[in-house]
Amino acid sequence: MWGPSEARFPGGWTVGERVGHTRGDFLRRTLIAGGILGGGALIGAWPEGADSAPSAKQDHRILTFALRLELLQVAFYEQGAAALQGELLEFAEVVGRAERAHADFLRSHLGGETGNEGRFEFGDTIRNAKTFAAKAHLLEETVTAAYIGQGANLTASLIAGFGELTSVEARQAAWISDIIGKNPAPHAADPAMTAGEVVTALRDAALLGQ
Amino acid sequence: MILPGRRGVRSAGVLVLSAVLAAAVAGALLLFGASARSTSARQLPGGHSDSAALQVSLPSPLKPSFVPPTPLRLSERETARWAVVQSPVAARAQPTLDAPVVTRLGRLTPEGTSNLVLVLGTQARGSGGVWVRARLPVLPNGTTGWVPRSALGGYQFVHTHLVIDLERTTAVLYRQGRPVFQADVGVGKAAWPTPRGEFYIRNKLVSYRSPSYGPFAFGTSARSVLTDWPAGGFIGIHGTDRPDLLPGRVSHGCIRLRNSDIVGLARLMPIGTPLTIK
Amino acid sequence: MSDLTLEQIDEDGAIQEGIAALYGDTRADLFRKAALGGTAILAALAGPPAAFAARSKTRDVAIFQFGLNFEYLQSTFYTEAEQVGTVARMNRQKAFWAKTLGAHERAHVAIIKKVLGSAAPKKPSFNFRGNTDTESQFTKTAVAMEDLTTALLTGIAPTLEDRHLTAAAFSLLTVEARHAAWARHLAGVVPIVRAFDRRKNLDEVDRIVASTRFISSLRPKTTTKRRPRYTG
Repeated sequence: MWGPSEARFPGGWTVGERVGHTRGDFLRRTLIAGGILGGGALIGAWPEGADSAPSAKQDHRILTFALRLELLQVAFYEQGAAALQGELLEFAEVVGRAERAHADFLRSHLGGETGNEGRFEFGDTIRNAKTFAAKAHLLEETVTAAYIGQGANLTASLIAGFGELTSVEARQAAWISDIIGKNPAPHAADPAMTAGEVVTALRDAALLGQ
Repeated sequence: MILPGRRGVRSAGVLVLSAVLAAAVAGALLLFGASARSTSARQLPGGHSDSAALQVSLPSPLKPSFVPPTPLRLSERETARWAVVQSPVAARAQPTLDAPVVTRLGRLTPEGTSNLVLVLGTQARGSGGVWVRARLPVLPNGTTGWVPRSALGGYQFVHTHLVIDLERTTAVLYRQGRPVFQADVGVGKAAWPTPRGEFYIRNKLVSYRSPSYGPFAFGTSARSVLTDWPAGGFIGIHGTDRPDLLPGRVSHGCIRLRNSDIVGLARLMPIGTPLTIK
Repeated sequence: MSDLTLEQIDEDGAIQEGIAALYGDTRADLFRKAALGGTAILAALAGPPAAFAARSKTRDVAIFQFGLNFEYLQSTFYTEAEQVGTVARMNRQKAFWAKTLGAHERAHVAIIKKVLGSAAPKKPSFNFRGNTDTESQFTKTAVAMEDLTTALLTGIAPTLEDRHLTAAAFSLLTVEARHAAWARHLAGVVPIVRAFDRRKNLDEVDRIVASTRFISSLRPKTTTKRRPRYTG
């Protein structure tokens, strides 16, 4: 069922940077290869060699990644809303709407080839408002850093729209920061995160399963 | 899945069979990508979200061309503010248009430089806009008045303060509260005393040929008792061709410094610096 | 530059300098404008030397010259609000916001100035005409200014030739977007207006800044060669 693309390549499975060689990583890769992790077909979603020069193909990979992050957020806000009231509820509703619009935008630029969009379920992680808020903060900060990391890798025609989208993610990050009492603008220039760091951060926060 | 049947051994077998079938079905579901919500021992803490969907190879972020330095708080001390009189305006006793006029301010000083006032404070007057309380270059010395903010230019800030001590006949320039310059001065004779009070430096004159004023002369907002002196009788701070007279009470009210000292002061003291004569 | 009084061509002369190169103005055009009274324009020509031959490099430089002028505007606005005591009168949370934004904008000025080197324009003269004097006007202006900066940077990002500059632009546009959201939140307004922050091009931003009349091309004339007539 899993073709030759399952081969364990040394470059890591998300980015061209070096992947950590912890036991956890090894286990993850084994599990991937073995196909135990569910969630649909992995074909077409395998990482290829990293390539930094802008290209339509690379755009596709970047937007695919971004779409999945947006869908994760859509699901997060939908599922979390039940536990919320007041401003947090307003936040979840407003932001959820924005994320849906972001997802639509990204899908439209992927021309229907969105691959495995993924299904996201958060269970007990977000059953109370306080945990929800903390996770939302982490999520928004991580997504913003992810997009800062990829904006300049896009071809020129996509940068404009992607920038407008990233700007709103940053607003969201600032909003939830202020709600939970953290500094909404902690840096004079915001840092980027690599895709690998993004996935790790989301996993560590139990927003992504193992 | 319980198959209908009789209890006992047959039930056990049925149970085993159903367990096997259940496992097979579950396995098949996994293979075909159905929801992996699990309530079994495989339950992971937190979410069961699909990280596989995020496994896309992406390039590293490009290094940005620049990164700003660490942001710093403002650490200014002794900040004073001045503004140019942008359009002729009446300065009034209170911040309303029907208050008595204290003086009329023009755009230029007698020397032809931009007229400016030291800003002491502001007051918002609802729909009347912002009014500024200003130190005015008029007699009696120390007069203040209110002008509409709209008559003034942008605020300019200084962190220096010049203090003239008439008893000690010294001039000390402070910057951010610290003394950075000190010199002996000549001040007004008894008949024409240098006025005491709070003033400000209004302009700087350069490149003129007048040895009795030295190389530089600063105009202040302070007025002399000599009210019929040409050009308003303003007190100046300038050099001299009689350094031998310093320190002492020697002038018609002006503050005189040795030429080398006025050169030093000119390097350090911006226009608008508040002036205290005590 | 000495204390020459700059003749007024238009209120936003300082910003127009920055965009002249972008919109294909030749030096001849600029000189023609200069003949109408433009020491400001002449000063601009002392900027990037002929060594910046490649159009793309000049374009990126011109974009950042515009950006620096805009950052001067922001940083002076916030700094002034602090200097005149308006920030000190705010409650602690709001004061922290205002001081943070000022510190960020000053840092932005510092780095863009450094990057541009001798091509960096001098800081224009500003007159905030009362908008730094009251908390309410300051807040309204800050919200508008942050939204505008966000629109400016999202407009700039796709136009840069050097992708490392694009990366830098992204790292800044998110900060300005945070500033904007934070400002709105403090003002009791929803921090997000729409799903995509609409970008603006330099011309649009220039026109908006001009309409504020915050940039004053008149510098005070405080020095003169006249003979002193003080009391002596």
